[in-house]
Amino acid sequence: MHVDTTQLLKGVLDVAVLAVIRDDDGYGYDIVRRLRAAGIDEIGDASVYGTLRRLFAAGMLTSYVVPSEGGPHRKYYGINAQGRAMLAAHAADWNRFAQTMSTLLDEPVAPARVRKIGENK
Amino acid sequence: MKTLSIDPAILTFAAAVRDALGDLPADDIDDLTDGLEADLSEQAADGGPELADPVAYADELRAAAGLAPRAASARGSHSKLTVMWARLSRAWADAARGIHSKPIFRAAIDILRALQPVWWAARGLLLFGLVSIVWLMSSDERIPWMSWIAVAAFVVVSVQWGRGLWLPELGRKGIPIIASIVAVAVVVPLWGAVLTYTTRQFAEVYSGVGFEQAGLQLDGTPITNVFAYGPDGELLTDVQLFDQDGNPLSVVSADHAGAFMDGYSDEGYFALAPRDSAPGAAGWNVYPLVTLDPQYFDEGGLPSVNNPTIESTPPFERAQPLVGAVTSDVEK
Repeated sequence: MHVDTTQLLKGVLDVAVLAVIRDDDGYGYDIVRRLRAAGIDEIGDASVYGTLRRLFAAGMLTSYVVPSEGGPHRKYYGINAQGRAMLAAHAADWNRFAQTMSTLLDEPVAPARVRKIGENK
Repeated sequence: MKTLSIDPAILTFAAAVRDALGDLPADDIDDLTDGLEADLSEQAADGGPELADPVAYADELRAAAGLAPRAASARGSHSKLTVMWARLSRAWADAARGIHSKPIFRAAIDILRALQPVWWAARGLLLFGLVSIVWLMSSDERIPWMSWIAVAAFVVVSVQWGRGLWLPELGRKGIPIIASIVAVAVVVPLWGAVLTYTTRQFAEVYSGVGFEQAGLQLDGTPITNVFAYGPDGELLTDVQLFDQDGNPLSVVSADHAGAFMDGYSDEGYFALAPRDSAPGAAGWNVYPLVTLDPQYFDEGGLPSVNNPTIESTPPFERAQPLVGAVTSDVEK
């Protein structure tokens, strides 16, 4: 199946970003790389950076700058309690929605697909 | 991989992106583009897409961040003032970045940041002080215990604001800043109000307690002894004094329990006791009171048990005889 997943992804980019930093803090491009590794490669890096900034402004993330010797400094983001709560809430919503859609489309329910949306294509 | 120097093309691109975001507040530009050079460099090293259009890139950043798109006419209609403001704020941001790159400043900023919660709590206290300043200036009462609950509430709200919580969407940034400015501005007036209040409390606590300010007073100054002179100007002894209601005019308070009263005069420590003619509690209105003989004070310079007494020294040996007054019957 080949649909334009870019539009679909835009709605869940927040959750995807929170999910890839759930266990480890990351800096901008590092997070882009993790998303790509998870199969999300339709989203431009600027969208990811903008999303990080928005999540930070909404109080879901912590952020700190790590200088590198000689090179440009990096801005790290980490998830906080509020971000975790939002991630959990969205994960539950997503599971319910995915189940509904799966039932609707008469396909077997596959909860493992929650975070691997990119594999759908 | 460690990037030691950045490709000039990336520097140019990042600068162009910042320029395209130029209509935003400097803080927003910083938030959006901090670490951009590092990210772009790494992406280039990974064989990422070529850097094409910085304006489109900036628009994508802006859209994803949920910031308003740049008005189509924004560029053309920038007044000189807004351009200057944007430049100023960018220069400020650059200076801030410069400071951040110096270890000593970074250490200082880290410490200040670690102390931030202390300020949040203090801000809550100060804001509570602001709402209670009128009460502090005018009330004689003790602080009601209920107000400690209010203090706690103010502190909690202020700390939550510091953490970016409990704030309406509109004013997420502004309200804590305004609160901080108000809190700083209230420090001096509040300090004055607290001083006024504590001074009054102090006066309250110490008035009515202790014989120094109880008993007989002359224009607010305690009287320690009374000397009465007869119509012939001679000093009288064993004079009993009462007020219009029959209350003894005593130099000590009604509940004074000690065998003597003491204090400090220009000559130093002294102690007075009722006369032998009316010893004990009933004798405090019989004048003049006798002085405890300092010769018999103990090593600590204080009266000893059953300290012998001597007559108190009167202010005058003799007063002016009264003209035409009836002198004592004996002399008649």
